[in-house]
Amino acid sequence: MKADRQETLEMEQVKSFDRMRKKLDDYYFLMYSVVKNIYLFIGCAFALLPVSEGDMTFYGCGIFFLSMAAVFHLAPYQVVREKGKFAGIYEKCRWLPVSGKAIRKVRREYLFQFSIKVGIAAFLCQMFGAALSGKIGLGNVAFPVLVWLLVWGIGNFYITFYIK
Amino acid sequence: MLLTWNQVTGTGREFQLKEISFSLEAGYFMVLAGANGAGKTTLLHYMLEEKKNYTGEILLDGCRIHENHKKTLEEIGYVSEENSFFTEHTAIENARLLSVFYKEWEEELFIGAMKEMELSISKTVGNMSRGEAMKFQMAFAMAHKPKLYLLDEATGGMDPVFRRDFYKIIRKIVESENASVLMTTHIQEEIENQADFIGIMENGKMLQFGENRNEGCFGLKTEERQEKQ
Repeated sequence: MKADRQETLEMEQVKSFDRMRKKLDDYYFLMYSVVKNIYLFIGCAFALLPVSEGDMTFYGCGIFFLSMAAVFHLAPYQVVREKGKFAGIYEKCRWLPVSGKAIRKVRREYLFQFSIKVGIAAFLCQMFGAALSGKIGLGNVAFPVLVWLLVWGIGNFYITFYIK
Repeated sequence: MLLTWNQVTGTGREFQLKEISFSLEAGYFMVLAGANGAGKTTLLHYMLEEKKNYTGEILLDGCRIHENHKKTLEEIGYVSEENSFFTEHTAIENARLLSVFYKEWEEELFIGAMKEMELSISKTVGNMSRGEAMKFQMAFAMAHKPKLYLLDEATGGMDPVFRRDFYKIIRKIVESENASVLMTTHIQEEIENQADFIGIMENGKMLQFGENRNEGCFGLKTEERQEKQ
């Protein structure tokens, strides 16, 4: 119980740290957000093609772009660019009273919210495309689930890569 | 006893410490000396790292440090070149940003300490000289009121004036805050004139540990020690 409370407190501290960084590095966060939205837009364009109509390469591209959007969504929380070099945020917090576990959990929370939104966007795109072609099937539902799973998986890999 | 190392031996694959034992009371200044690669920085890392990679026990104020690592780090002020702040932000921005992790943080203390050290809070950390960066870290550490300060080669590369000022700060910490300072150094003068206790390290072992018999050293109990002498 006490451990849970402490973990919650640590996570709140990480979130408050992120909020302050967002204010301080607003331009940096904005740049990542622009790139993320470009990837999202291209990914959603691929997702418009119903599963029954295209081939696997096409869907692979869609999933790739949406996964990249997840990476760019997390990147400003994971790294900071200083004097032309990237430095991990976790490394900066290494000697501070915050655990890697708390930082990882907060990043996963951000990723989870983002992956749900991407999954819903992929679902809506699929349904729209399928409705236009007049063929709605199980594949149109399975595709967004696959998108959600892959975005979640790749995002998690990216989080763990920086916070071991 | 504020800090106790009891038969600490490393267990990881990298460079290891071997059977280190010593203890330090509150209100003292201890210097760890030894050649490069002796294990001085590793010794500090054992206390700071999140993962426990040793056998034996390290106690801070009677508590095993890895049982509540967050609390331990709140009670330790670490000053080192490897400490990385946000170099493109000012001292005060860094302080505000990183202070969210400390319960006891007081911004007035930080600003006061920066003033005392004649450092501007609006100076970008990346533009600070090595000495200034060390003083900034010291001010940052002082603002969260730690019980133990760990200084890793904090005075290396500083000119004598800077170093003298730095010792004034340490003296103040030891005397008025009743905190202890554990510093690693190569500089002979610091070992002889400043420390209350000296530990000599070689190849991951503590070759010697004991009280400094020089008169110039300072600690809360300096007078007591002088009386004994």
